[in-house]
Amino acid sequence: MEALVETIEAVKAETTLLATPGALAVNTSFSKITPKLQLAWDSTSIKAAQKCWRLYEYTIIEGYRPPGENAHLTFGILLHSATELYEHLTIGKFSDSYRDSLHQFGISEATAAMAQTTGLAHDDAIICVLRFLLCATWDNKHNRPWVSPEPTKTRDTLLRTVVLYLDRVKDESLKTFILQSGKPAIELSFRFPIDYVTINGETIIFCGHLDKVAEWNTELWVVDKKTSKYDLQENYFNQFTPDSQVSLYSLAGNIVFPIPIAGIIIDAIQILVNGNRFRRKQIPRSAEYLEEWMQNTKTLITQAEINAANDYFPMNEQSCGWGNNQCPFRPVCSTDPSGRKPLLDAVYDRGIWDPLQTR
Amino acid sequence: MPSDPNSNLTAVLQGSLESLEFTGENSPLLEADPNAIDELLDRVNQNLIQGTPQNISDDDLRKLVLGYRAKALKWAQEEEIKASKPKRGNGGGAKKTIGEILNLDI
Repeated sequence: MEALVETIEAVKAETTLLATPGALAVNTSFSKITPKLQLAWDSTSIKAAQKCWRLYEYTIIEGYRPPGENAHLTFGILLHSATELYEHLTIGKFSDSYRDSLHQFGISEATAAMAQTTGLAHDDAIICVLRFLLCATWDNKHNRPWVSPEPTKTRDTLLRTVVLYLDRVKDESLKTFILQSGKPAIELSFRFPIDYVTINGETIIFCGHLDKVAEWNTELWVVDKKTSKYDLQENYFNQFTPDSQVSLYSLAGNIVFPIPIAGIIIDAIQILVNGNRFRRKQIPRSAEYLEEWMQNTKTLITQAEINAANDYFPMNEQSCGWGNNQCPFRPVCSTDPSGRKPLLDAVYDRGIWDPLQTR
Repeated sequence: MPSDPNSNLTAVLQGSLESLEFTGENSPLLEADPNAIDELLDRVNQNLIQGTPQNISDDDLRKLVLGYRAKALKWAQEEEIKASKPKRGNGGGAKKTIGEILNLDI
């Protein structure tokens, strides 16, 4: 379980809040024999490769990100941390180090101790969560609140969304599963090897991070939170089939978890400037479907080996798109090859995407 | 499938507004001021500027929670009113056929 203070440091390292120039850290998910061959794959890496190998090279291998994307990452990480904190505070039974880390956010020792032993009531927990978020969204470098370039993903919409989301989950029938340790089944990292060995004898592993496992109607479900500014109509949920994240989580749920998982529930939150909407939907995956997905993904990894060996990741020009849906790296690919690296370094942010880093 | 609480969002929010207990004299609903959020955040920010997050009062945070709930309730009510109004352009009736638009006897 990640201590909250470490989460804040991780978020701040990702954003400009404490930005200091320096070399990128080493990405532990890659081969030491073939440096551009990824060995540990998560759904983000798989999707990037499926869309376009050049996009995959820019984002996963080189770590470039479109300017401003940090706001979405920051918002997402803090939303998940806030809901994780709420679960721990209401269920209790967390570690002493977790309890001790809470005082950094103005949560009193007495409140932290009560939370640890008996769990807090809903409203008391929300107040603690707000304390955490207000501190976590403070830009210590400039001594001001976090300023986001994305109008739907701001400090204010984050606070509002968390309050409303937690109010919604308070009395619902979808209850967080409690593990044998007594801890809630939330923010569960997984990794497992698959039946694929590279030409150099290295094993490929799949990894990822489950938001929550919950009980509903005597069955267990993996619940994944998603945020969007778009309407949560049927069209929105159609995007999850086919979808590698849902397929991977369905597979992981049944391999890694000791109790069979019935499936995935997408827990969608629409975030608008002035309000929120919420909607959930089950996304099914049969064993037959997952077998085909595994075959597809192994074929993708075979191509990754070839591309890494040749040190060449081809563009998929059919994925460039246009208008609001264009690939954020289209300006780069539209430039002559000799001009691309300077453009990337001048305009794009940079950070490591390492699937093996647990959250 | 667990029930979609969006269908009774206003009821959920109203219930949340009423459930927050106060030890003070004022009723929670009277303190639920969606316009007070900015003022409350300014006060919170002052504590953060001074490096004293422990001085952020529980009372201010309760008011912030109530403010967000009240703002959301107001927004949900406005959205319900908007959704109940007929859409502009076709008088709220059925979509016109090509014949009707072109005034042809098809």
